[in-house]
Amino acid sequence: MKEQIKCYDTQACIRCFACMINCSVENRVRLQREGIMNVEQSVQSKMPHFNYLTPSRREIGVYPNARQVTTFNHCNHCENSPCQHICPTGAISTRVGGEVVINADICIGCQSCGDACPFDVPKYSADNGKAYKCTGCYDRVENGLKQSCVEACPTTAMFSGLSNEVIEEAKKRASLYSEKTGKKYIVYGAETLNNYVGKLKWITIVEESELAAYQLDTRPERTAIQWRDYAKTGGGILAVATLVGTTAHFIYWLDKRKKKIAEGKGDIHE
Amino acid sequence: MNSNKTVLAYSSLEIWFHKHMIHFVAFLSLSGLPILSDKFQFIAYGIGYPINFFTGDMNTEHILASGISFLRVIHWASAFALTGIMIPFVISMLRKVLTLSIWPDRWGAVAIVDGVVEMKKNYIDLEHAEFGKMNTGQKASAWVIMLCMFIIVVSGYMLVFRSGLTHNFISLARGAHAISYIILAVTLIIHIYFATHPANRAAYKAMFKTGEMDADYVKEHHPLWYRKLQKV
Ligand code: SF4
Ligand code: SF4
Ligand code: SF4
Repeated sequence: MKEQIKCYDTQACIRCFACMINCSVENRVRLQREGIMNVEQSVQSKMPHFNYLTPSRREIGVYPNARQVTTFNHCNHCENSPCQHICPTGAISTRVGGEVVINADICIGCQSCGDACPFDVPKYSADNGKAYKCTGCYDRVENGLKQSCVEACPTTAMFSGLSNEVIEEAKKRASLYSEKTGKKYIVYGAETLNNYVGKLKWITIVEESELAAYQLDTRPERTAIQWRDYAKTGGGILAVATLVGTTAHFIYWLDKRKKKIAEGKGDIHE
Repeated sequence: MNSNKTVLAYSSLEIWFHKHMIHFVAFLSLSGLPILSDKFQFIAYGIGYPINFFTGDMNTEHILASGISFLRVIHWASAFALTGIMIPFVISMLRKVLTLSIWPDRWGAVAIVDGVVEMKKNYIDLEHAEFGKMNTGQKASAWVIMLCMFIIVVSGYMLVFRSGLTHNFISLARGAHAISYIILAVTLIIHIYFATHPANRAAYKAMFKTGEMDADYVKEHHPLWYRKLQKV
């Protein structure tokens, strides 16, 4: 199976939020499918940690030029997945299709993933002490289905497929919008954003000057976590160097002490 | 100095605290390292295997998580216990803070260079040096250890009682907790080396047994301290 990615087109979105509803439904149906909850329980429990796709609608600009934009908070399935690297239990893995997934069975709720994610994605459930986030509907995708959010979208504002095909279509749309509006449209996340996250596997077609309005961070970072990683590497080298240095000093000390005693100068440490 | 010509180097509270500090730092390191780095996951696997064996969970994917869960409990329990024993120790140290040997005898760059020269004399040339109770390196490492411990404790409590704090803010605590520990661990390797060095037998014995050092030994190896004691 080749890498799959999703794309959100800000211009084609009509803010119906069918994607959000279908995601929520799918997560509840998944609980039923896996025998974790019955239909009534899964429909009636609130379970806010299952809201993997949370759009928020805002207005930007000043009347008469004010208009609505929708910012989405969802997992971007980052190429370098810092959440996965920091997880101490190996609960987070990248599936064959590229989806970064939390295995709730082995999540211990340490919340490291949330601290490392520069997009504030993993949500901690105080009810059961585990972290949750979008699964990329990997179970559907691996069985030949589209992601639930994608399937629900009536305007193909949300579309998915093979990585190269989706990027090609997104770039085509971006250049069409640029041509029609005279404003520059880009595909956010299709190119490497930085070393921390790499490329994204949930890309967005957006007008370049509106990246901030859509809360699309062009330098997604968690500086302290990056420093933690550097310190781990540096600390390892330093610890080994210290062990070698102290061992060398001890050998030197034994030898010097022997020589001093042989010279009749005695041992100052006696 | 007493009539038997011994010098009290460490009080019973200092000996007690140091001894338990060793236990807790060992527990905290063993339980924290597998959380910090996958290079130490073997510790968690070592704990997780028997847990899963006895609980009948034969899913190999669950072993690491079982080990980490258990170690996290040990980490938190040791951390709370360590901060508990820290309280009387810190209060007692603060009461005599100005007389502690962690302060430099002289301030300034020249004093630091002189201190390093004296250390070279002792550790490289194996000659008697003009040391106080602690030499320049020991004082520097004492400050590094205190600072790192302070950051580790504060950031550790933030990580445990994090509700209401943002992930971005907590990531700072997580970074500070790990970085301070790494600096502390390297400093402790040096500290343990010199503390267990045969040349340091007298201080080792004082710290782990009697608390006292022979006055003649002090006069010879820690002349600055000896002279200070003479003045008192
Ligand atoms: S967006 Fe956050 S949770 Fe999703 S893969 Fe990236 S770091 Fe992990
Ligand atoms: S909360 Fe769960 S998934 Fe996230 S880092 Fe901790 S163990 Fe891993
Ligand atoms: S991919 Fe699946 S889990 Fe993720 S937001 Fe879409 S529907 Fe929800």
